[in-house]
Amino acid sequence: MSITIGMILGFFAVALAFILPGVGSAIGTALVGSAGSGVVTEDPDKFGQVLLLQVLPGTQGIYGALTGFLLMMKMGVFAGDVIQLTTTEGWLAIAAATPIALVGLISAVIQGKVAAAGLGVIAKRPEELGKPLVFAAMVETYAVLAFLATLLLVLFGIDFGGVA
Amino acid sequence: MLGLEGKYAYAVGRSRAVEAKLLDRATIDRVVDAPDVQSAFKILGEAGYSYVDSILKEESPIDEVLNKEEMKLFYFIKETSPDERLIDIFTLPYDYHNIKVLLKARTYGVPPASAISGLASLSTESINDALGGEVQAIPDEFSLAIERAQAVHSLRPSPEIIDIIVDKEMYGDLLKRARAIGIPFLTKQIQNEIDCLNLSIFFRARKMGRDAWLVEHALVPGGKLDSVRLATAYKDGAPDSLMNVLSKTGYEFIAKRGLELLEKGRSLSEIERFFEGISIRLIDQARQVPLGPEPFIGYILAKQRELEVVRLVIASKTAGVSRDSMRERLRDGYV
Repeated sequence: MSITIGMILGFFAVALAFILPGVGSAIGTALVGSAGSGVVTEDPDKFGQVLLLQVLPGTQGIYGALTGFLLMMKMGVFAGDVIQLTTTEGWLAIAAATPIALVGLISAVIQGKVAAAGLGVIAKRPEELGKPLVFAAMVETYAVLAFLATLLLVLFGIDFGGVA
Repeated sequence: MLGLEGKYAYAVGRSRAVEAKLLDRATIDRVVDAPDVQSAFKILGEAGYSYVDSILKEESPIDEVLNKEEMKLFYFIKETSPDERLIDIFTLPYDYHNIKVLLKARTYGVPPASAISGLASLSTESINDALGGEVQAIPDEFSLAIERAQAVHSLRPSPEIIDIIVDKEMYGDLLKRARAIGIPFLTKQIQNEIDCLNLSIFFRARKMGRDAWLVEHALVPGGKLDSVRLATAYKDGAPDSLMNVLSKTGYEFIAKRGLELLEKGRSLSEIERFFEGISIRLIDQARQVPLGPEPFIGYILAKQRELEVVRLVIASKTAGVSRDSMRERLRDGYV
């Protein structure tokens, strides 16, 4: 099998989709986890509420992973016969992955900050859990929109001639 | 990527959780309204304060209770802070206090026992060794403070000189350590304390007619105000000189009001309350910051402020001060 520039670019698109939102989610969940550990040290009963907030910045990593798997499918990786993409197709793959890669990275870090700040509400007024959840979820909107854009581009915008 | 926000995340989480246990205004009011000191301690006990045996013996256990609370706070800082140097900022005033007490005791042959603070990090033995000539028994900054206090004291022997010089060294040390830790809020807070101290020195010295030499040695550098220009303004004596030093610093009101109070021969406590107000506002702002070192340090300062308020209320109750006077004193002084 000969390797084309397009294949390298296609693999790079997969890597982008996995790495950037994954890093953002790791940072976001780590931030909420660290702050949450502080709250739980003082009040172990708040573990469940803290966990709900910690999960939120983790979703971008999942969106990125889904994008990566879809791209791999389009490139025929799972069929065991990788399609020899042209350079243009490789660039198309990168362009399609870019929305979730960039927005995923940034929104996960910012969502982590919002969720960590929301721990203050849980520490003082645990009955108000819904409010910090909504604040953090608002940031999620933009990650969802970016994922939607990537999803539409990958599913309907590019066709490498493999299994869709 | 997150810098100080990530570094202090755990500390912020813990601070948010314990912040809820700070005494609120209603509890302070209940302590003020308590019929006697024992009842006041009972209310404090319900709010989580330590219980000590001397409460039962109807002695005045305020120092014991507050020292226990302060010690709990120090353990909290040690356990929680990601920067171990931070605890020094809060124990340092007690170290320098003990240095002052022991240096005066040695110089003037008075027993120091009751004035020694148990919250210091340096042992009294090591300070005594340093005073006896073994300077390596304590860190350099402390031995330097002793050396400087002794040098100035030799020019003008007075216990007050020891206090002035050691305090000056303490603020210099605090500022140096705060800058090394690299938290702008902490540096700002210490600079506010230095400005408060310098202006208090300026007005009190003016009221008492003290000489310029003393003021020059007492003023602490490093605050927002230029201490050298402040010393020159004191020497000059003209009201305009002070106004010039304070212009564009945000303290213009203080210059005007301080000079007015001096002219009328009234108490200068208003000046101290003004700075207290600035400090409370800084603490309040710090606690509003969502992440970073500010909420953590803000909690520590708020707890220390709470202990001061409790000390004031209990001491006032012991001295038979009326509830209205206590409330007036506490009016703007609690966050």
